[in-house]
Amino acid sequence: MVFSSLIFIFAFLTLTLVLYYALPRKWRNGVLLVMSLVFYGWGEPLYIFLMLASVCAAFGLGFPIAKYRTSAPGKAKGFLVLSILLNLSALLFFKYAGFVMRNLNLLPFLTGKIPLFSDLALPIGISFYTFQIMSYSIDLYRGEIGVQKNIVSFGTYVALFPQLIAGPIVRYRDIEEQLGHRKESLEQFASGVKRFCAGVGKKALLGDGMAAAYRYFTGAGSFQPTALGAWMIMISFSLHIYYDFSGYSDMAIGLGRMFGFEFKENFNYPYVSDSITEFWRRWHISLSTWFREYVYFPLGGNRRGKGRQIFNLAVVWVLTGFWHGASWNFVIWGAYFFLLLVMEKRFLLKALGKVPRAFRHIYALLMIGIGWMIFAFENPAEGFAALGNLFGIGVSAAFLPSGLYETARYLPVMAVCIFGATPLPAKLWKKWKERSYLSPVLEPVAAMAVLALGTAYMTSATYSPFLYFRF
Amino acid sequence: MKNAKRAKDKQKKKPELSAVLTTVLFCLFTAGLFAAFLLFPDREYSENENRTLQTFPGWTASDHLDGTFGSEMNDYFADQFPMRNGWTAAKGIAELVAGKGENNGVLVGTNEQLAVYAFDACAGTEGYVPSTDGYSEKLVERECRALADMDEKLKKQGIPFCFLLAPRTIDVAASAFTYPDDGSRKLISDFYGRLPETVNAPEVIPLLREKYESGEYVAYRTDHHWTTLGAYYAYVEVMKSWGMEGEILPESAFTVSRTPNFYGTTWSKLGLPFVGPDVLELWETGDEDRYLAEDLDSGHVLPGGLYSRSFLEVKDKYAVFLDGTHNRLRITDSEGPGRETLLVAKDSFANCMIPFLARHFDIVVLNLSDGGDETNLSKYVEKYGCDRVLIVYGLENATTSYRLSGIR
Repeated sequence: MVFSSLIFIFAFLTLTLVLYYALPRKWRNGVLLVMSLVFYGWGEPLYIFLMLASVCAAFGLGFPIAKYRTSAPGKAKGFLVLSILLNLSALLFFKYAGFVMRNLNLLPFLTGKIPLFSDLALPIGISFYTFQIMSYSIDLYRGEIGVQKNIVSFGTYVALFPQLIAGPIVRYRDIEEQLGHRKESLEQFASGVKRFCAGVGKKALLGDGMAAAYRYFTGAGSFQPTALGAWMIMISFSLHIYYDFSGYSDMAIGLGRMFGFEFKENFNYPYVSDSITEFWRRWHISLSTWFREYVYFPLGGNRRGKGRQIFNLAVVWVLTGFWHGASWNFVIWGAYFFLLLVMEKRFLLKALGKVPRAFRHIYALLMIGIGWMIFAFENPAEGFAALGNLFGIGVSAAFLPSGLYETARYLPVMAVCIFGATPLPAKLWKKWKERSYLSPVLEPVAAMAVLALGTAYMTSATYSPFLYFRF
Repeated sequence: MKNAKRAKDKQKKKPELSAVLTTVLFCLFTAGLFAAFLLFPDREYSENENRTLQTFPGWTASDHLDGTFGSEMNDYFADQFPMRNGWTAAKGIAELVAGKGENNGVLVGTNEQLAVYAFDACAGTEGYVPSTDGYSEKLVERECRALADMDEKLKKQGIPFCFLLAPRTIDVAASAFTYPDDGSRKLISDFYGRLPETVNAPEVIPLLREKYESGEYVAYRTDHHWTTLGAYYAYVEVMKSWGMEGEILPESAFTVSRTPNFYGTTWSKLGLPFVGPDVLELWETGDEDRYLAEDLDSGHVLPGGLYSRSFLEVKDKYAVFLDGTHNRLRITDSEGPGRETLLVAKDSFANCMIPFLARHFDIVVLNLSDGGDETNLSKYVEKYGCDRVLIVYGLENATTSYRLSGIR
């Protein structure tokens, strides 16, 4: 099930809320767990068992890790490694086996002799819940959290439908307390509703609009590539992925609040960044935090000399790229950011500090945009061709009249998207709220208007799945 | 003092009121629509969308395990969602207000002229690509080669051939839109440019465009087909191309009966109820009953002959011509045996044109849009001893389907 579907908002969410608040407090985690399993099993009725197996493995191995972590750290480490291996092997097999086999198959002496696993469908959300589960086992080993003795609570943590299939990646330690003792309130519920409505608006009204522009310009470009088309591909994809993904995170955070949970923010206006370093502090924060905490720091971070730091960064960024999908373009995309980040650390940030802010901003946006071009085209050759088109290489014309027409058509929505990607609208809204006596009435009405318009778009939309589903 | 205190109290209460109102409105909105969904009876068919709606899918374990049940439930909920048409229309209006100038790939032009302009174009061997005026030059090349081969083959047998490319609305009614028409012109000139001059292929699109611009009703505003008048002009061109000018029935030979309230496929796609209907015309000479149409697959004779008038009562009025889609039909004249047999391989554009041709020829009709062996024209020419071959095929299908390139 996806959040931006009628059945989710009107049937599933309504039923879940009624059950959640009608039943006694001690049953609430149980309600969430059961409904989350229904939510997951709706689209993945078989892989639900894979997720449950992962949950049980990490839950069971949590006890020996906790038991031995002070008395016999070596033993505890063994159990930790086992837990990680069990979890990771499911992710590696389902997500990467096809990719590895496809590439091995290219070797002449193996061609046609190995299974290709091409029918293997990727279990939804496996990249997200595997990382969540690992955060539990690792933090437990580090002694940062206590062992969870209640399988329902642990299952609720992993399967919690607001964040199950596309994040944010919630670390166990961040909601350890909330799992056992959370206190829902009307204010929190209402703020969750508003956040959810904002997410629906971002995804259904703006994100999908930019997706349509992206589809048009890639379609047109596949017949007659133009420079204008390539720029529009870059801009529309940049806006699409931001509104799609951050809208999804807003919905997740909003839904969490409706059930008394507070998740950490996942985005912080990434497109106002002045450098790539800053961008990655503002984009998909829960993922970069995870890699920093559980890969970069354990490898030694920046404490073992410059050479080692560069190596550590390379590992983190190739893995980050690969996490996004089992395809070479994602590896290239990760490596691309590794290079930029190393260059920024070495000299670029210093140099950028000397130029006016506008230039720094243009630099950052251009580099991010080029990154998205690598990201968007699964076939790297097509991605590089589209990058060339940006600068007039390999185009049939600078623009076509129909391309100009389409650009003009999307301009108003694009302008709204660009404006909305800055903190300005939120600031203006806050100012208005403080001044206006009508805001307690108008704000809820506005939230409902966005939800109603989103409902209109969802009703009318042909299927439009979230981009981050299969990652 | 009092006022200041009251204002302070008010400010204190502010967040609370907002929270209560947000919660109440949200619960009313979601639970209210859910209740309406549960209470309203299911509908089985949507006239607006021209399709059957998903009804409650029965639950079986195997359906559930392969995900069918979940996806059918999603469809069921969306299809039976309360006020579905109202929501769709609201989205369409929002798109127009947002300055997008179109909805669901349909442009809204002057005089409420509608035209589909976004298609899924064939892209070589790689499937389909969403496109407005892009198309695969390779596909056009293959189609033209297939047509040239067909022409050569028939020439050897002494069988006259004609290929007629039917326009999309956007090609004919270009003047109603601000959308640039260079893509349309390029596609048309590319098509005829690749077709050898020896192939008899009268260009009817520029003619229809001219007629449209002079105010003639050659293209529906709400449907993707040409009107009966448009089809008449095409019929005239075909007859001329075979040197049969003398036999062409003049417009004055027909009495025209008009059926108002025709809302076509483009209207359904657009989903905006305020766009007004078209008029569907039947051009009759009064002796239509003599022509028999037999479905070659079922062996049934169509009860209405050339016109199945019961369709005039429903939304899908265009199906009045030849009873909608039949893959193989044979049309004969009960009073005039011994006529030439014409093979018409076609898509739905030919449906309203065939009644004109039926006055001159017995006709074997092959629907090219289905997946069967109807592309094997040679087989049917031989089987029915056809004396002439006509292909009527829309430009939309020519760029969005591989079928034409497979004729032999």
